Amino acid sequence: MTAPAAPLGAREPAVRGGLLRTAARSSWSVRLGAGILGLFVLAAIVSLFWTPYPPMDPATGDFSAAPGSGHLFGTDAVGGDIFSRALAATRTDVGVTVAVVALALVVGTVWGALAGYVGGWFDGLTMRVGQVMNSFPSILLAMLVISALGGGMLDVVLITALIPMPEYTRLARAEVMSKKNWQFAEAARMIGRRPAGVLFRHVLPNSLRPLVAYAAINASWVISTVGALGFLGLGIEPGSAEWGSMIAGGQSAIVNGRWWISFFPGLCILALAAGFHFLGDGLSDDDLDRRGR
Amino acid sequence: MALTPTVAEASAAATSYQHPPASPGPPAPPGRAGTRALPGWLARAGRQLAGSLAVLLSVVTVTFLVTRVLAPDPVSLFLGSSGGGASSADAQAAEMAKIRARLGLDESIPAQYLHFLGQLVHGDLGRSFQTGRPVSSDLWSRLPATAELAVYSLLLGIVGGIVAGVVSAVRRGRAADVASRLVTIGALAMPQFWIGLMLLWIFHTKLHLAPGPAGRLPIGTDPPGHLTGFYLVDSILRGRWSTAADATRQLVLPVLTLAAGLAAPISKVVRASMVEALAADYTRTAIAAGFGRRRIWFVYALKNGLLPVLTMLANVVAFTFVGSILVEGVFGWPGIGNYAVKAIGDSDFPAVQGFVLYATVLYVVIYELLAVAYRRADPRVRS
Repeated sequence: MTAPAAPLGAREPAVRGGLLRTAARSSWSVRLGAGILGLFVLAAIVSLFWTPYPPMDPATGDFSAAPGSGHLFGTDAVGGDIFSRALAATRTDVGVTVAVVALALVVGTVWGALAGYVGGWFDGLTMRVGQVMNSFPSILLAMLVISALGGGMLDVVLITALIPMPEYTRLARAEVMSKKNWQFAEAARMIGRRPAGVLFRHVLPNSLRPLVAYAAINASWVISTVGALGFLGLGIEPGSAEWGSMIAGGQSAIVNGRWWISFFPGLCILALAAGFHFLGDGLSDDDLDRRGR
Repeated sequence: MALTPTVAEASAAATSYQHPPASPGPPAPPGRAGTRALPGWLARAGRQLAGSLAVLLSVVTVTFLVTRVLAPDPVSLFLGSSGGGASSADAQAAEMAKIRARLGLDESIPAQYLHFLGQLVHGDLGRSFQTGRPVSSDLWSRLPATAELAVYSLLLGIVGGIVAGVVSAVRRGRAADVASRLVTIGALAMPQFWIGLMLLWIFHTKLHLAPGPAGRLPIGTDPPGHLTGFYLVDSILRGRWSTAADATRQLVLPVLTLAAGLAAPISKVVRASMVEALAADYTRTAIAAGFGRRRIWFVYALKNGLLPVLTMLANVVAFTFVGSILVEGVFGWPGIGNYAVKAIGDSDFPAVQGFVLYATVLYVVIYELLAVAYRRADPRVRS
């Protein structure tokens, strides 16, 4: 490979610090986002051991009781406790969101990094696949597939992860292409590292920042998509709680003034998605600052 | 519900837009002596058309495979609802075979596929299991309701998003910017159907300012005669002012709901690209040359600030389809989205498939038109 004049950056730019040092360097936006996410993870863990009432049971109290002392978020038309169910739904919604983002991030990144590093026909094919996937509304096709399969959350994860995957591939490819001839990569090749080692040990770790920032923003899209699928009744397993389907459950009660059945699950989606937004916006701003913009 | 990821990722978009596939103009093919070579734009148009057809064919194929191979046997749906009146197993099997033959399901899969393609070429999307009518006429009769909602929402959403983004960028760091960014993040983070429900609760149930989710007109009101299919336009054209007022009142909440979801990502992208344009060298030169601030903002910076909006419009349109699925049901709107939701719930695959194909065709057409528009608007990609 005939390398063009290697750009500056003789030293490997990745700075690895502890969690606290990273937090201290981060902007308020990142800290706010991470704090909100932490609360949701905590809620998901707590719901494993404790909810005020059994989350899916009817008749835990009066029918359609307004939020009050006995039931923090009120009860639905058959007396189910909204707070318990919203708490249990944290597991579903956070779990599915994390699974979708992780799958799309890992597969998309590895694919894109290989395409960017290897080039050639593999790269051409990758770009073509990405173009095709961008040129039709894939979310609609995903809805069709999920409804036809009629399966549960696993189907939702596998199919939803395909939608943002090309974007991860595109980002990883661009980053790797711009970094593969930097001096630290040259140096790694010089000391005899094999290509896979150079790519995955040196180039890729230095290309992750924009990918992580995108993953956070993408996660807010995933959580609303999962909520939307649940709202349409797709992928919901009987006996499991999910915020979108809880909103759908309160839809007809709204005009009668019983707002709380739909309000609180929606508030959960709003808070979680906003948390991801703050995190992602902050991360990409920090990234731009680091590059001296 | 947010946009497709390429759009939701607005802040990163500031540094890396996805241009529509802008194939550099191919060198004129060396034509044989005597024949003139194809002009560059024609060759490009031809290639783009071929690409679009390939995309359409793959979507058609995937929908076919999904609905005919992966999905549960539709015949059981028919027997499930009507029972077929069959008591013995033999009679039931005969009944199933009859339905199978009627639906064309007794052929082999490749034969079914060819049959399906042949029907599509004639605009035949099959029959809905539920309504029993052709899917194409079902969609066609619901199109005006969705189009009316979509047109007003797109107008309001695009204008509102651009204004919010520009204000945010020129007032960067001040109160207006902070407020606009917070509202934007809020609107991006809220599920759209939930925005609709909350607006209904506040403005209908609590304040009695807006009508309930009764659809396009209050119950008991006759639609104006069909001219354009847009009730508001039709009733004005026919001079039926009270109907026009009724239609407007029904439109306000769903249009606000859809427009909020559209405006948020647009404002984010406009803000990012305007901030960049305002920091660019040509802006500094314009300031140094003594041009007024407003002239710089609205004439020079805005032109560049709006370019990424053009690239994201295709996604915005796709988002309007998804939005119509999620929001029409909330307001009882008798449109295509509502039809698709019912079809999903009833496992009415020809109907869902028809909706997906119809949306894909519209999307691809708009996507290609935008690619052309983008090449006209930005000389840099014309090369």
